[in-house]
Order: sequence, then C-alpha cells, then structure tokens
Amino acid sequence: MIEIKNITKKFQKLDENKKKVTFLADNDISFKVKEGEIVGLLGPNGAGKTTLLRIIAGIMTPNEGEVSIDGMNYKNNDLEIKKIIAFLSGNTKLYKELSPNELMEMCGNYYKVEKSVLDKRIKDIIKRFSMEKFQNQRIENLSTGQTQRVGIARCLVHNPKYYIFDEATSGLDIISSKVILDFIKEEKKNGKGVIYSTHYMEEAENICDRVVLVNKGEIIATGTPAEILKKTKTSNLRDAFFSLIGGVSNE
Amino acid sequence: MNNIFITAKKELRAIFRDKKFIAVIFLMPLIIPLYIVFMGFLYEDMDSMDKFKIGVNYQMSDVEKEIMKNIGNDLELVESENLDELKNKFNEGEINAYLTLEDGIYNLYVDTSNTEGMSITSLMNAYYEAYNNYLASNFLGEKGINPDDVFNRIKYEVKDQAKEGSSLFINILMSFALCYFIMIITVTAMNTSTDIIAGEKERGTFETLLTFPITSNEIIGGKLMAIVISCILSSLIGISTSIPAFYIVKTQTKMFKTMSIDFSLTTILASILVLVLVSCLVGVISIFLCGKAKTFKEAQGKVSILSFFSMIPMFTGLLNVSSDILYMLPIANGGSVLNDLFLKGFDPRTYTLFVVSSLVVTIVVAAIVSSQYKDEKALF
Repeated sequence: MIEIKNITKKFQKLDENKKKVTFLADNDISFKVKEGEIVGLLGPNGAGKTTLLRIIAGIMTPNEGEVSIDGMNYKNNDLEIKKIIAFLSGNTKLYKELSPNELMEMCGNYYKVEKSVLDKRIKDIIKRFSMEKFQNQRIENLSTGQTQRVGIARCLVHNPKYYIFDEATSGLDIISSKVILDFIKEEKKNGKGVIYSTHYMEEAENICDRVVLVNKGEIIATGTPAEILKKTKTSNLRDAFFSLIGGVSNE
Repeated sequence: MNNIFITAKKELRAIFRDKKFIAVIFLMPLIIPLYIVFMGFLYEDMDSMDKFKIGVNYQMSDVEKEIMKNIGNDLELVESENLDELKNKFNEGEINAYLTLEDGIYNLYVDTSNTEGMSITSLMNAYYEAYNNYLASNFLGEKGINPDDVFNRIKYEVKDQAKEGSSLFINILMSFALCYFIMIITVTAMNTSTDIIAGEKERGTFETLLTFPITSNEIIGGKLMAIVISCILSSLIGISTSIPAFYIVKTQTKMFKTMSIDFSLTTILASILVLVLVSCLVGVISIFLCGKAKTFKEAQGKVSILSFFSMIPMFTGLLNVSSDILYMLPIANGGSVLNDLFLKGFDPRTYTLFVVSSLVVTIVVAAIVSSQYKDEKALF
C-alpha cells in the first residue's frame, strides 16, 4: 500500500517586486492507494499534482510528512522503494538516441533484473505493445504514439507493484491515450496499484476507483466518483470540481 | 552491472551517436599533428631566410668588410654613393637598413619596430664594437702596449649544457604540442558535460534517470566516467597522430634532425596517467559548473571559463617557470609535467606534486558536486 502522510512542500519564488516569498505547492496532503486500485489525482494546472507525484516517486523530498510504500520510507529504503514503483510523466522523456530494445535493457540493468528474465520480459513487452517493427529503431525516429508505447514499455521491465502516472495522456491523440488507459485498466486487473494524475476529469471518472481532488496545493475532496457527485449534487467531476471551489473565478 | 557503468554506457552511447561529438572527439585532436608539421617547417623556413641587406653610402675598407663578414653570414652589403637611391630602396623594402658616414660619425638607419630591424641593430652593434676594438688595438700597438692587456683582462668561454638533441625551437614546438592536449581535454570535457548534464535536464530525461534505483553519486560517477573516457579517447587520437608528425618533422627538416623525444614505456604510461588525472579534474569541474545551469545554453556560458584555464599551461610554458608552486597548480601543471616527461625525463618529485595536487583538488570538487546534486535545485 502507498501511504501519503501529511505531505507539505514549500518553494521559494519571486513576487512582483522580485522579493523571495515562500510558496506552498502542497499543504498537508494525505491519502492511501491499495494494490489493485486506481486512485485519480485531479486538479487544474498548478494545483501541486506534479510536485506531489515527484515526492511519491522519490525524486523530491517533502518539507513535512512522509511517503510510505509497503511499510518502507524514502529516508531508509530509497532504492528498495524505487524498485517496486514505476513513474511515467508527460515531463519525463525518453533517450532519443537509444532504440526501444536498448532502452528496456538499460532500465532492466538499473533495476538489476536477471539477464535471462529480462530478455524474456522484453520479448513479451514487445509482443504486448506490437513493437516488433520498430524495436531496433532509434526512438528519435518514432511517431508520438510509438514513443508513448515505448514509454509504457520501459515502466514494465522491472514488473513494478505500483504505477505513478502524471499527465500521461496530455497532448496525445485519442488512439495513443486509449493505449495508456487500456494498459492502466489491465494492470489494475493484475493487482497493481495506480496513482493517476490528470486534469482531464472525464478520463478519471471512467477509470478511477477513487479520486483525490486538489486545488492550490490542498485536498478539497476525496472519495469514489459517485460519492463526490452525490456530495456536490452534480452530474460529472468537472462540475463537482467547480462546485467545490466555488465557481470558475477561483480557477 | 554496477550503476556507474550502466550510466557511463548510456552516456557514451549518446556521445558516440551524435555527429557533433564525433567531430569534437575525433577531428579536434588532428590539430596537434597539423600544428607540429606546420610549425616544424615554419621554423625551418625561418632559419633559412634570406640575408639581411644593408645599404652602405661610403667606401668600406677591406678590413671593415672582413669584420662585417666575421660578424655573421646574415649580412649582405649593397654599396651605393647615391644616398637618395638607398633611402628609396629602404622605403620600398629592398634593403633592411643603410649606413652613412657624416662628419666622422657612422649612422645606422633602421626600423626597430619589426624583428628584422631589432636583429640588424644587434648585429651592427656587434660589428661597430669589433671595428672599434680593431682600431683601438692598432692604436695601442703603435704605442707599444699589448692590446690584450687592455681588452682581454679576463678570459671566458661559454660551455653549452643543453642536452644532445634539444634546442629552443624543439622545446617551443613540444611545449605547445603538449599544451594542446590539455586544451583538447578541456574542450572535450566542456562539450560532453554540457550535453550530458544540462542537455539531459533540458531534454527531460534527467527526471527519468532519477526514477531509477540509483544514487546521485552513482549518476555523477557514471557521467564523469563517460566524460573522462571521451577525453582520453580524444587524447589518444592526438598522441597516435602526433608520433608520425614528429617523425616527418625530424626526417624532413635540418633544424629538428637532432630532436630526441623520450617515447619509452614509462613516459607513455606516466603521460597517460597525467591525461587521466587532468580529465578527471576538468570533468568534475565541468559537472559542477553545468549543475548550476538550467539550460544547455546557460551551461555553455558557465563552462566557457574553462577555456581560459586551458590556456594557462601555454602561458606557463612560455614563461619557462619551474617552481613547486607551478607543479601544484591544477590544470596548469598538466602541461609542465608532460613537457618534463618527454623532454627532460621522469622526475619523481615534480610528478608526485602533480599527482597529489590533482587528486586533492579533484576529490574536493567531487565532494562539492556530490552535495550539490543532493539539492533539488541542481536536479530541476
């Protein structure tokens, strides 16, 4: 289980008068993600989703609070935690000079996957995502959809228990987005826990078991989509969000 | 496989699949053999340059001509009674200087704003001193005084201690060629580090790397290893192409015929260690500077200071300074130690000073870089 406990993250930024001011990206955020569950992290741009996911993935350190994954925390088990999670973000790019095969081999080596296991797993992944035709081509020569498939493929080589997706479908066409969404549903069936961050509310409504709505670094609602719709007396998560923040002007 | 090796392999793949780096690593070292051949033949050409032409506007005696001849074969006399003709020839560059005798005073008209004028002035000073001594000796002889009792009260001889096969031109040629190695290392390190540190941040792959179970020290170690390997490869290309260049200069010129360079196994191994240590130091400094940049362009600006450092060995080489402080001055000492190795032989004292100082500075900078990369500011 992933447990996010009272995470607070502050940054320094310059105000209009170019004076340093402290900015709260995330303020006292707590929620849990079980195995076999998809939890959506929803909110507009600048809500603090990416910072929170970077903290969950161990790339950033919080000022307060801690992340616990299967009872381990980043202070004591940094590398062990990273071995059981996979982080895929719209911001994280792939090594364009490598081929999909080389990229997966490199990732497998970082995760210390045994060579024979890795070779078999790469073969399976290539088949699963129909990457046979371009498995040895450099990533820089692939289409956006093919690159997206490689992005998912590299997350699979170490067979993680938990996935963290940050705006993974942002900027993708409907077909490429579907590949990712189908993949997430399939991994849920395999018992994997997923944190899925997006600002596409409809997308989250369709695939998430529970959602965490954030705005300006704070949780404004949490529960199943149905619970939130019932609570806000709205028909979709988009309206629910606006209802919770008190209208569009707050955006 | 160790995470440092995996990271180094990843970086080397990126480096050797980029045409820009291929040009830096494989073509830039070719400057060294070209420099050696070009300068070798240039010095040779300078040595066999035409004689200086001196116009003379008065009747020179045989004795004067003989003294002039003894001063050096570099002087050729152009006699003319017409002073305007000599002036014109001088102004048009046909003669380098001219002499007149007016009211018992010998005048040398020469332009000392160029090296030829300076050389002629020096030669003519020697000539007039010799002629003056000749006249004074005759005068003393007529008075019954032995001229040696006046002019040669003491006797001295110059005993040249230069090693066989060494000369000023050989030293200059070698010093510059060896300093180019330091420059090549610096340029290679600057280019590779800019790309694999700041470029990786800009391309967004650094965040991918951070999601792997790898420590920041392993990331830095892998990147440093890739930089050092690139630098060494570049240097080895320089060394392997320089050896035939030296051979061409040695066999095709008179000036460098006696050139003797120590290419023993000890010298080669010791010099490779020098290149490795300089590469490590320059590499770790480059990583430090690039870590302070958010973009590729910003990093390029920050590492440009290293270009200045790479010129220091040339300045110290020109000054011909040989002090312990120089051998402890990182980067600058690289050129001096290489110079010593190839021209003077292995000196354990100065070599140890170089190794210890380079290691200490590298470790200190590496520790700073290690703490720098633990801070999120360096990562995003």
